[in-house]
Amino acid sequence: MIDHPIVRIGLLLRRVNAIETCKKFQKIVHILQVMGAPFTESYDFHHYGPFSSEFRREIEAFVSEALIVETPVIVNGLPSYSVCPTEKLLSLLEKDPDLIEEDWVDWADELNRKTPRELEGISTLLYLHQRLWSQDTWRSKFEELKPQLAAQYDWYESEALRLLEIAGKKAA
Amino acid sequence: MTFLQKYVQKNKFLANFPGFANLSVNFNGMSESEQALKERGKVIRDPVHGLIHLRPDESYLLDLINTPEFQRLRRVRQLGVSNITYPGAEHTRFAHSLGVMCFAGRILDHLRSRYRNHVEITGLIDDHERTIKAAALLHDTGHGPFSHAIERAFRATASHERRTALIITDPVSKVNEVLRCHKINPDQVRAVIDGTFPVHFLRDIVSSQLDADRMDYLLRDALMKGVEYGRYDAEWIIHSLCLGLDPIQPRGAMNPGNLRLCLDRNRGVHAAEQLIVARMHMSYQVYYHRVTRGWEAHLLCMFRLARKMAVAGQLPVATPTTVSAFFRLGGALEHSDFLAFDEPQMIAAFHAWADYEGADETTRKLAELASAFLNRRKLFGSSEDPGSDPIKASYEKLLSLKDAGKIEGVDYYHDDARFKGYKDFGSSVVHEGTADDPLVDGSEGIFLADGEPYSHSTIPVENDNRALIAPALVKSDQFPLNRVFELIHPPAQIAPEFN
Repeated sequence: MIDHPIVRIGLLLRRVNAIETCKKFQKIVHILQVMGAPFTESYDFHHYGPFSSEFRREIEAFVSEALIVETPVIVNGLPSYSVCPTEKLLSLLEKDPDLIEEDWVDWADELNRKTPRELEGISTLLYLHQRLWSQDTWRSKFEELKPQLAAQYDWYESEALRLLEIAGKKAA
Repeated sequence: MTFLQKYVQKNKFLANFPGFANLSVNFNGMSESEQALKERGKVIRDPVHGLIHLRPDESYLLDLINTPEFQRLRRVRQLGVSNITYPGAEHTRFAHSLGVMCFAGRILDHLRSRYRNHVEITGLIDDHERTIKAAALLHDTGHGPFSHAIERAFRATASHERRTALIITDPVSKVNEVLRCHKINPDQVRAVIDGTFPVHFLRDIVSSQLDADRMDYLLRDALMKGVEYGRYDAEWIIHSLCLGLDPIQPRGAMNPGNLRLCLDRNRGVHAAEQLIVARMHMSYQVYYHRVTRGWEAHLLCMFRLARKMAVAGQLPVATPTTVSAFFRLGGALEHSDFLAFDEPQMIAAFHAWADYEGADETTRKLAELASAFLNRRKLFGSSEDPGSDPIKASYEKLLSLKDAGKIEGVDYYHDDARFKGYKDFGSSVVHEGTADDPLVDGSEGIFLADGEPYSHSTIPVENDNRALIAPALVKSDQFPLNRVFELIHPPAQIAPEFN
């Protein structure tokens, strides 16, 4: 697979067709990255969860080149954007006859069915995993970082571990 | 004075015995340097800061500086291969890390003074000062040789963030031992660096858009490269620092831990813009300089070949053991090996590769790339005229190279810097919302506040009506750099370029 953002962002959006909200897009890509998908953008923890300014810049560039389109939507009463691929992006993917979909594209489909809040919780735990926090520290760190999500911690943890297992990885 | 102290003082001939001369230990159990630190503190000369001071009660910092993990940074340049383009860029991550520690200390002192009547804030500063300064000092200890090039080659395993976390928390590390000895929690230090520290404004000192890290590297890199772009009014920035409530915190969240490091709205707007412009120009002209990025592409292609040969056990025998292990393991070195993994070792490896006369194509290619790197023979070139669709153009270029039988990462390298002028940090604050707001996916930017810590009038600088440059830059159409570096055939001797 050619190492180019058109390939990885294109394959992702071609599979899911649309991603609602910027937050979901950020978290899906982060989770995929931790699972081993070839997303190379660097993520930091910016108080409200893993965030990549590089990825944000990429999306803006894709919008500017009409490779993706952001359509305003209302989610839970708040304004946001729905992100979809354009024909231009999809036709570029068709230009490479050797392009195949790797496993992570299936994972993207599953992740896109989750809510932004669910992805935020999972992504936070996987960020801790990525930064080598051992699993026995996750609960206390999570409650410190995401007190508003702490009630559902057990679910987030089980999902994070399940996703790591799907990707053939284990928590520290 | 004890009997032994008197005896040693009286019998100065003892100093002539081998080994005794080095044993300058007084009978309080302290070395001379430790005694000097306790009495007078320590100063370190620095081209950016003048003098960097360690107070008498900051022996923990000197102990951290003296660890092998930190001393290793003397052998890792701050800017990787930039010295090929800018010959003065020989400064090290060691000097930069000391500078970050210095700025962090000054910011803490300023905040302590400004909020001296807010014990809930000064209490936090006092409680966590050592953690913050340790984090500032150690934030780059995990960097491999050639700065970010090594990480780009082995993203999962050679990430400097992961290595830094290991250095701080692994019991085999001297840094970890020193922290625990001084009763500083290593997990708190690494939390400051990885952004999960619970007191936001303290974390901002080490990692934010106003942090001590970029304040130091902008000045240091500009000074050492001999460019003026990176200069900004650091003294006024520090003087203007204040605290403000995070703009996307709900009202009523009056918790000092939720405060952010900001600039005083009445004093700091223009200094903020100067900082933004400095960083933007340094990025375009220096950090993402076409020639420098070309040499990084050269290194990355060389690393790819070395990895292939290391896995097959075919790297030249004269390759230093640590370097061989690095490429064989794909970046996953043990701690003890990492201590020896520095730029002198890599240069020694390049010499071994350049001198090796192998029969197969891969070995010859590696030798050619190594020799060209050592002798500054430019083998990679790029064209930069992508028209209006740089992303599409670069992708189509890669497709054409692939169709021509070229090998990605060996014959060509795609360099997409993903950097956009001012807003390479993604401030998502478009209105006051909550963390649940699906539009708000981050909360980063340079914030302006009125200085009253629990006031709710914190805004990103680009939203201030006195800002001239930041709003224009936000709307700018400058987008990420997209270059494809290709191996030029046949390689030719090219006269050195310095810019």
